[in-house]
Amino acid sequence: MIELSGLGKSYGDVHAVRELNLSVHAGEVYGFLGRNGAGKTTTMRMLLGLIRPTSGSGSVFGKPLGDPASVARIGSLVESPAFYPHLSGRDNLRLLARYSGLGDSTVDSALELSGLIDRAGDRFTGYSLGMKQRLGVAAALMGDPELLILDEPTNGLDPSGMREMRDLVRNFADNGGTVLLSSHLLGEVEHVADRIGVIHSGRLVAEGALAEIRARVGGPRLVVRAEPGPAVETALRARPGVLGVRRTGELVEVELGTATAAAVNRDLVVEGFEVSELRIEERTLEDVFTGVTAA
Amino acid sequence: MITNNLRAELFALRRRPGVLAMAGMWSTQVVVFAYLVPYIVYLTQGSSMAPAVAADMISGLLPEGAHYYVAGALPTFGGPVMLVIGALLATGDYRWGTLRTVLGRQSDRGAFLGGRFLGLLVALLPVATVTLVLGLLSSGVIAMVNASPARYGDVGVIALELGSLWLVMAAWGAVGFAIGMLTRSPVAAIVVGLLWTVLAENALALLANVVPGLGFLSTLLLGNSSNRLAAALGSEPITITGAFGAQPQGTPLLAVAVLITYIAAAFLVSHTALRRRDVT
Repeated sequence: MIELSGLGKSYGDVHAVRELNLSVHAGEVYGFLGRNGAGKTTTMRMLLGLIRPTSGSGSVFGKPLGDPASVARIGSLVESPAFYPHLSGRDNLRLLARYSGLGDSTVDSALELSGLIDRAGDRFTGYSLGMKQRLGVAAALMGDPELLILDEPTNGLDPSGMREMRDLVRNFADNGGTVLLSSHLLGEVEHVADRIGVIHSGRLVAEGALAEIRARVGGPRLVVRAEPGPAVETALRARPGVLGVRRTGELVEVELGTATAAAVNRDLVVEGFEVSELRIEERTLEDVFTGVTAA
Repeated sequence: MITNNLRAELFALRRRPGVLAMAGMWSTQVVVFAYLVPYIVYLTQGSSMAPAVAADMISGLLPEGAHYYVAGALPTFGGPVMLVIGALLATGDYRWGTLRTVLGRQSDRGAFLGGRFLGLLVALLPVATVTLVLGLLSSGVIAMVNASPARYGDVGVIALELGSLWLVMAAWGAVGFAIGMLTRSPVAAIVVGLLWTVLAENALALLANVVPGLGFLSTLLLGNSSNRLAAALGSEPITITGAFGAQPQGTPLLAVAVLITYIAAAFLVSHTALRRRDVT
């Protein structure tokens, strides 16, 4: 559905995006991860034809980037939502519906879906950040798009709004839609994405299913709370089957190689340490992100 | 596609307070400065004027001369207002960041610009109509107060005047639109537009009058062509400086051609600017 090949965008000597190769398949939620300034928004703008690549090429729905026929099948929210301040939320959507050749009937259903229907008659300028974000999502959903491009869609939303957004994205994909979802809030993407791409300094540094990327960074780690901490750390470092040890106070994180949690526990007890906590911790996306961008 | 965009623009235009305020300001100007003030001057000073001058003055304020002040005042006073309207229409999306919202839904920039430009031209038609109607109404009231006969021109004359008013307004609005598209700032567009039309055009016209062989330059200017068209309607152009426009150059047909050229050139410039530009 989205194919990017060596895509790049430079502003003079500044390379916002470099040699980006990326594929998003129909029906999946693709999490596009990167810190602020990594190149996520620039990439999304190129997908919509808002800015032109300086190198490489790409296609959406098999058509060149920015092709009107393909953009008409996309719902997007790129960067902060921008609407006409003197118009109500409803009138803003009615205006956009006219630009797209859609009827007014699509407006209220989009407002309903985004949870903004009760305040649709208020002027945009009086909306809170969360309401503006909801209006942006409503605009993106108008006209039953096949592909959603959402850039940090949970910005400004409260926890329940963030949960609603996750549900909305998941439901959209479950109903056959495709989503490209960018975020720097890694937990947001982790819960909904089928595949993930990590962009850093304009380059895609990792791509794949979450499990694959986790595997690249390492398996689960063992968290041990035992006293005295420094001695526990020394003992674990010397133990065969342990790849790495990091201590913060009495809490020691152990990168397990061939050793098992049970074996580590047994050895610590045998050596006379008081073990008060022992748990396996899965790699979070934060770990993954830190790992791949550090590399 | 362009039909969708035009529908959207007309929907938005009816809800643009800045544009509506400027159109309202021009309508007020017409009533106050083209009719009310001159009539007060006539009432208070008419008896001390030469009879021929006083008769000229009142005849221009009566229905049969309704075009006199409206058309004559348009290039100098109404033109800049239309220029501001054009600049506001072109720069609003840059000011609010809404260009990415609109072009993110439909990326045909030619259709978008065509719709907006056409929207401007269409919107100026009711403005021209209101201007003319206000002129006719004001002159009717003056005729009634002055106990003079209210003889309106035939429909053909009124239609011709309406067309001329619209063409002049459209040319000025289009120039403001193009400058707005180039500068992306309403303030910059208005300053550049007014400096050009008020100062630079007057200077060029003076130069053309003084330097032999440059006479044709006057006929290519927006102000001159607007004044020439107003003069063709029978009005004596009202100018700020009096240095330019008092004797507009060229033929009415040439003036029409020049004004249409300004509109076409403004569209091409705007289209080129938008097509090449990244939208951030």
